[in-house]
Amino acid sequence: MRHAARGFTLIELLIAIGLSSMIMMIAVSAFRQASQTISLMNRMSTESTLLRTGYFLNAEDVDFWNSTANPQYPFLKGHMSDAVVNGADLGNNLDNKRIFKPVAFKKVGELNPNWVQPNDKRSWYRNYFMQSPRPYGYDRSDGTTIAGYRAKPVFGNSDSPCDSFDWNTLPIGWEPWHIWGDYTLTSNLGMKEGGTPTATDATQGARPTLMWELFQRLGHAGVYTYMPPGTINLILRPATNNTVANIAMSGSHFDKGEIPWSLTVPKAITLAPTVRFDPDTMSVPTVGDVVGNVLKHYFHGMPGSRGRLFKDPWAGPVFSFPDADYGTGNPHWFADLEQINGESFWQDMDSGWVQKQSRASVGLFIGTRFTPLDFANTNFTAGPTIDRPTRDPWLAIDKDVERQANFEQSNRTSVFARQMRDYTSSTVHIPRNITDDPAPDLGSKGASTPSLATSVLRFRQKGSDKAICTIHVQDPTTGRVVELGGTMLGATLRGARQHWGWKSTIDQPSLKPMGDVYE
Amino acid sequence: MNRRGSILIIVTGLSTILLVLSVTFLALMRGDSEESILMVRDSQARIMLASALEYLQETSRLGWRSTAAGASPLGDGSRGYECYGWTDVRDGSIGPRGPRIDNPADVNNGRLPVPTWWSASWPAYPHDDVIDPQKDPQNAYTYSPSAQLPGAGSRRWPCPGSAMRGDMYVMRTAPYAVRATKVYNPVTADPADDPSVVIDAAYNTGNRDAHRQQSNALMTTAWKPYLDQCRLVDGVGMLDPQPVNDTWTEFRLGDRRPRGDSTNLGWFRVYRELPSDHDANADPWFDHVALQGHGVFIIACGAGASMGYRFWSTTDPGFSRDLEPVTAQESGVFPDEDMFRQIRGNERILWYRAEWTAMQGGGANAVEHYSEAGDHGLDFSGLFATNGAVRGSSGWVDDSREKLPVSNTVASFFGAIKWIQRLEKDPQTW
Repeated sequence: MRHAARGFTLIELLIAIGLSSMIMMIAVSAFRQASQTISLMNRMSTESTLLRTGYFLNAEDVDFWNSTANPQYPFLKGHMSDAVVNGADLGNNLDNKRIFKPVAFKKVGELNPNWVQPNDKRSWYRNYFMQSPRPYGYDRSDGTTIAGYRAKPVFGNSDSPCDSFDWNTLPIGWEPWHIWGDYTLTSNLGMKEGGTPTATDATQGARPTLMWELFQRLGHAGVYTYMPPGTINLILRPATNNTVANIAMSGSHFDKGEIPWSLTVPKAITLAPTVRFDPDTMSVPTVGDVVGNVLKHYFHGMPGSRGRLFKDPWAGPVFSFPDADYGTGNPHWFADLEQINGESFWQDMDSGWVQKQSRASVGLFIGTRFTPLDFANTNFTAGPTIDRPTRDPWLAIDKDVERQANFEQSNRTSVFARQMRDYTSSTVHIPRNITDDPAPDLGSKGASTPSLATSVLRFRQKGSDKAICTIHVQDPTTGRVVELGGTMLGATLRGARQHWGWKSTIDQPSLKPMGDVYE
Repeated sequence: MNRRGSILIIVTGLSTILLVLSVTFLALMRGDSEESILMVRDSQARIMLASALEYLQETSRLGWRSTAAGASPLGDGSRGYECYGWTDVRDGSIGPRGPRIDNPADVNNGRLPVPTWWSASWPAYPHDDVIDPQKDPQNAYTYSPSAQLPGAGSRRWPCPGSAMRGDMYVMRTAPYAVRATKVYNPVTADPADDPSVVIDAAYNTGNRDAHRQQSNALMTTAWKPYLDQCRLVDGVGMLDPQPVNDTWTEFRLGDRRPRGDSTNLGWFRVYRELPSDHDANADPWFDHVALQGHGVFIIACGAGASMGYRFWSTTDPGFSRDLEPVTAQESGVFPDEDMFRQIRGNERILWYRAEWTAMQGGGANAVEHYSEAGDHGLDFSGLFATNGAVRGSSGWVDDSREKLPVSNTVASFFGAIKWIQRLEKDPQTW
């Protein structure tokens, strides 16, 4: 008897198909999970690698100031506060790197009182080239608290009512140069009235010439760099250079990009409060005056004990502030280099130069930031790349920023925001163009390639040069953004200028000369 | 059986996938962590830069007291054992050197002393031999290294041309360590007392007499009972801060042994440049800036376990006793040469140059400092005061109360660093 071939029953088949389907589903799901996991791992590893890469790029940048100085650095670097566009270079040119413009200094030994030798102690040094080795005092018998006192050297001059103390009577070790060392706190006051400093007239004072040279060539960054923390000066800023076009003008590029805007702008009484703190609208000395140094005492210093500005002991005040020129708003920035925005003065309707504002915050912002607008990194703008707490370090520094009701403080917040916007150096590394083509070729960039951008915000606070670094990684596939922030200690601007001076003139002469060159 | 075999294959496949995933994940993480170590070491080395700079600043003024038995605080001019900088601000000589000898019985009275670290076996210390202090400041920036410094191989820190090694670790108890705990209110109150009296007595502003200094007392009547408690009755806690150790000797010495978890992380070395290192003759390779003074240093910052030892033995290339008075081999710290060299090979080292300046900042008020007393008086009471002391918490000041022109509240009595330059390659001498 033939038995029919035993087959699967329908139920068996259904069960088998069901089980197989389940197994297949599990398998497919497992493969899918595996694939996603691998993708996730790769992405995390890539992000981690980019973050590490960004760290090292930032670290090198902090030390060598590559993003500010090196013309061979990846495109879209920030050289200055604003891009000076020459043709199609999008601002990637040496003209835009003012703080690294080459300056040739003379070596030690030439006794020219007007030498430009920041490396020579005597250029800045205590009594020798300071017009008076003595600190200035105030003759309280000459003047009033309103009109100001006549300033006199405390010691020495026989015609001074303050000459009852000869400096030799000071206890040993208490002379000002003992206290202040090789720099003097008032070293910027030595310029004598009566003319523009010349290369041969020592009576004009050497240090102001040195400072003036550095100021003209490098802007405020030069002054800040070559003067140590704690030096006091007063900066009169011509606002007319607050344009892109003026940045490249050697005669008017004094501050853009280097001076911290948050330094108090004196109240111009005729202007509305919302305007009077805008550097663009300030009434200022003319550029011509400044270039010729006719104003002299462009760097002034040592305001009086009652908030009154120092007056020249020989010829009276160069500027007729605060009294005669009262109310017209000559802008004076009184910058303490210890904390550049440390203390500022402005004119006040009632009491003249008497008010102060405490701004223990930030200064010396250099560079321009560029930010990818889209995840494909095809468009860039000068916008924030990092989160606000990281981007606004002064939120931690400046405790009063939330007090918006206070005009001065709200203004302080706004200028900080502007500083941050304009003066952080940001570099987009991936995609990058190793040929330093200012126009990035993005054609070869993979659609899913993550991007890396690094930023350095440099400032000096309380005598320390600081660099807040951020590393910004974007994943166009997931939209994930990873940021890493930190503060690094590294080379100062002068140290970097010394490096690049050697680098560009000796080690790599093919580079455009930049930095400090010592003849 | 076939069906079971298929399932086995599928399960095996899935397991293999999971295994591969796991291994891949572990490998990636391992690779990432290894690469991250480099970043950590770089960060650690950079932190050492801060340590080295702080060391330079502090030792510009402190730490050079002669501890030799019988050393005279007068004879070596080390009254207070305070020095005047790497480049002495008084005469530009090689510092740090102590204060002027203030001992009429000393033939050198009124003169600047020879630094305590200057060995008697070395050539005569190069300074301006001017007895009349009124002739200061002199200029002793320049000297002849060949004639006035000890010969190569004999220089020891901080002599120019020598190097020091800073092995950075955390001491178990730092000398003069104070307690980190908050000090409780030591003023005990008798519950039987009227609380308002206890609380308000010292602030009893309504009773002027209570605050007038008594003729034979150093404190006011209002405060006296409470200060007496601190002096006479269980006063611990009133004086803040409180020492960690119980005896003066323990307090002074501390326990300098390293904490175990703080070793082998970082170190720095500091080399004090010779004049020939900064005379702009391109030798060494970084020497393109002519500098004066004695405050230029090469700082090597390292992250690793070498403790800052640079040379294993005296036969290592570039060895000099000036740089390494005790080699790694001589120290006995490392078991063998291979281990030391492996440690050194894994380290991250950064080189910097920095110049120290005596500039103190701090808002020393050149105006008020000398003229606060009266109209043109001379008053030193305001020395280094800052207007931070008189400013209210608001940060806004009334000019009538303002004493100083700047809010320069960070006075560094140890000078400042003029500049920091990164050296992109081995400077050789460090």
